[in-house]
Amino acid sequence: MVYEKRFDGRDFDETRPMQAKAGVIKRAVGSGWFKIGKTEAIAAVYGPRDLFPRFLQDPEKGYLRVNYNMMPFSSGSDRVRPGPSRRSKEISAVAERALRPVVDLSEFPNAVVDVFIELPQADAGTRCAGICAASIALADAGIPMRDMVAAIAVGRVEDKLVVDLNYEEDSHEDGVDIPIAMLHNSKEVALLQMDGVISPEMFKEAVEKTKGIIDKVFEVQKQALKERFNVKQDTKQDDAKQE
Amino acid sequence: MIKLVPLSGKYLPKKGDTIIGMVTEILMSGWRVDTNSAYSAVLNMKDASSEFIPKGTDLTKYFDIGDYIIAKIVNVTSQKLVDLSMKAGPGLRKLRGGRIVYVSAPKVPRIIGKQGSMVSMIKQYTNCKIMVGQNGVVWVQGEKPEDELLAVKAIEKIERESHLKGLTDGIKQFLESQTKQ
Repeated sequence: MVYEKRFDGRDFDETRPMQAKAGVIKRAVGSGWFKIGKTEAIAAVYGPRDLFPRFLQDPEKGYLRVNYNMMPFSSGSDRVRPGPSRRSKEISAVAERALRPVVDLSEFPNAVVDVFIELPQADAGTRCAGICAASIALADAGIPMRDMVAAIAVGRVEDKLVVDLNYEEDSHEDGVDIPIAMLHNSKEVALLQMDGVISPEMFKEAVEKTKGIIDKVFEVQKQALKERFNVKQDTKQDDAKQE
Repeated sequence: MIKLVPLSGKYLPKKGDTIIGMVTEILMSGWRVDTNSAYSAVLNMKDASSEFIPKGTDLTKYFDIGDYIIAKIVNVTSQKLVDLSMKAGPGLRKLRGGRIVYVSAPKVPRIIGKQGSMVSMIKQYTNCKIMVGQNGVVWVQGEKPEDELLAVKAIEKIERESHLKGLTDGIKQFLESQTKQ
């Protein structure tokens, strides 16, 4: 079989439709929501606040702590068993490393900035969606940042280079999934993982292609942050209703 | 490096700020005060009152846990150890009665307004006493609870719409329409 047409009919370099929002959780200091196709991620930022356990405290700068969690009902097949797993711990760690280079926590010695990434719905590309949501949430929380982090998965299905794999493509027997996170301005790579086998030429092409798509993801993130502070005209009507 | 003032975020203690804090702990020679930021502050008993507090006094006689105080930040170290004083200026005192509203700290200048114009407008319309701490803690005390609630509503409206044009007029309209009823 040759992969001529994608399972969901997209072009090979087309992402699934993206949506984003900032400030979705009122009680958090900052929050973000990012949806790409059927994959949906919510991120909430708390802090800077007191850091415990104490041995993690750094008198030079603050500490960034990320927690990734898939909700039990999020997956398409079996229930995801709640609680930390090998996979969720790994993704928490790589997401933390992807976000750490952009945040400047030198103003917050001994404190922690907590980022919680939750996935109510998953259809491949959850770590990328999670990082995008977390980036929005950190900016919304007013944490000093050098740049925004945007992420997208690229990969191979049979002999074709594909962008933003969905679950069907991700689980294809002859395929590679490469989630990549980049800083938007400098295009420095903040996260790159890979499972499967790919030729060096194709790998280079994939990374090059990501750069253009990162810009598209960033536009969605930027729009979300702009809308956050654009109070809609109908708030006056809301007040009238309350009366 | 360019640093921007964020539209949201938590308070960061700064020397010279007058804040409203809550007493969370009684120490050997002072009080630990929550500042609505990542760092708690210490009010030493020698800076707490103009009267002499002898050694071994029961400090809860002055401020007990849960009390809100207006105090001035006199020092912040590089490790963000914050020292408070209640002798550093006028109006620094313990707050009695009223209610506390938490707002986001970057919005505090908008709530105060130019030369206090915004806060005096709310005072005028609601007959409430209002104190705004730089850390985003606001104390409101009125004669009737309805007055306090109206002032709180107005403050929340400012917080929501602070970055938009015509804020003062919007708030004035809101207060007028609410007080007419």
